[in-house]
Amino acid sequence: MTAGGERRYSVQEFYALLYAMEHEAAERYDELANQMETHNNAPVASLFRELAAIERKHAVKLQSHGQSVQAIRPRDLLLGASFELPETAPLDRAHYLMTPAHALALALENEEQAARCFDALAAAAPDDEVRKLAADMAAEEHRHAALIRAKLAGLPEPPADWDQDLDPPRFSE
Amino acid sequence: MNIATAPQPFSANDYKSDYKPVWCPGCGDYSVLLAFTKAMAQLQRPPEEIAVISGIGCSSRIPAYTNCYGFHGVHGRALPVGTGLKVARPELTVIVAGGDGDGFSIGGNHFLHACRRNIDITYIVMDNRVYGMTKGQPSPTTEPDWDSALAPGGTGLRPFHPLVIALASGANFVARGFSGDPNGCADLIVQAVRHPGFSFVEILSPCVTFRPDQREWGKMVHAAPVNPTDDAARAARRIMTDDGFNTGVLYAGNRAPFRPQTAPAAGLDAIEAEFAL
Repeated sequence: MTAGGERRYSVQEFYALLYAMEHEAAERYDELANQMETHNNAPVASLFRELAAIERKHAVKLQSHGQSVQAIRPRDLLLGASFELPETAPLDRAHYLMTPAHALALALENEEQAARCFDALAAAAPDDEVRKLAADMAAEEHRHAALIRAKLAGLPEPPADWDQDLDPPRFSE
Repeated sequence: MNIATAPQPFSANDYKSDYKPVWCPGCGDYSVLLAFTKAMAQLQRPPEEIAVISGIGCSSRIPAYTNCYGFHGVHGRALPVGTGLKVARPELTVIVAGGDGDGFSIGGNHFLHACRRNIDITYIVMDNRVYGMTKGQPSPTTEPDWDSALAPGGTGLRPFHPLVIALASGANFVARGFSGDPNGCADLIVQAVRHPGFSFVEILSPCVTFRPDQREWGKMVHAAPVNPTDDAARAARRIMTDDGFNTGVLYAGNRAPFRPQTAPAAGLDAIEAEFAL
């Protein structure tokens, strides 16, 4: 995330950015949870659902600053060269056989990306209030990343053949 | 930067149905569905004024996952159904959607003539260069050297070039998107719907099950380095010579859409009588 700090945000725009990030992140984790439920991967589905609930709590908190789903056009808030907001898990990273460790690794990437984005904003924002907000957010995202890292350390490594399916959906000879 | 807009009655979730897609996790079609719902929210058209028409294939399941009117039709015949619907009900926003096999092989002839007729509809093709639903056969857009169990050594056949064929056949709007960029695809769909006449949007949508190599597409796509043109010859030259991963609006023409001059002569009663057993 190199360009995050190059844009100038007002305080209101910064809150809009935060809301959009948390809202999209929650929606995306719910979408991934739905996919895993459909493919009978219950442990990962419940993990994604938990992550969605956490992100949604953050979004609800931000609603006190006057942001709403309808008021945001995330396209206007994209940072750097990314296709999506920094905390949004890319849909193409999902696999029906992914393990909780994979899901947490994905969540960790999202938190780290958000932290980098806020670090860049905090370093470059010309407005004092925005700079402080960005620094606070960066610290929070770093905390989240540390929590996930700790949880990840307690999980077993996925086996090397985690994506091997004895009854695969694909043709084999 | 204007980021806050007035609250609007429809959000993207209002265009989603309660059915959960059964696509493989990682499939690009999830993102296209997301882009579609975001696009409709931008357009703020009530779901009951939108019809999503499809043929057969993984991507053709999309009408069931929307909260709009939908028709999951016959293989390759989505465009004739969409065309007929738009002619009979011009006040509806008609979106036809499907895959590369449905649209360019089984429905290839309909594709040419839908472009030629230039009815005011939008056609979204989720192109993954493979028949996913039937377990991985090469499609019209598959690379000639794609080696697979079902086509050892590749087909050796020149791929169909949908964008230039759309242009040559008379489509009035031609664009390419990438499913990994759902916000960008939403913007393309909005522009396509707003542009009069037949709008064709090809969305590169990886099939992670049969074409895991397509996970690399995210690193290959790039925004078209030029502005859209209304000069078909210039657009054709650009499309023919690009690397196939240029995204954006590549052509926006000025041809007036075709609208029948007279209302249909037969009423619903006459049609029902025709089909009565």
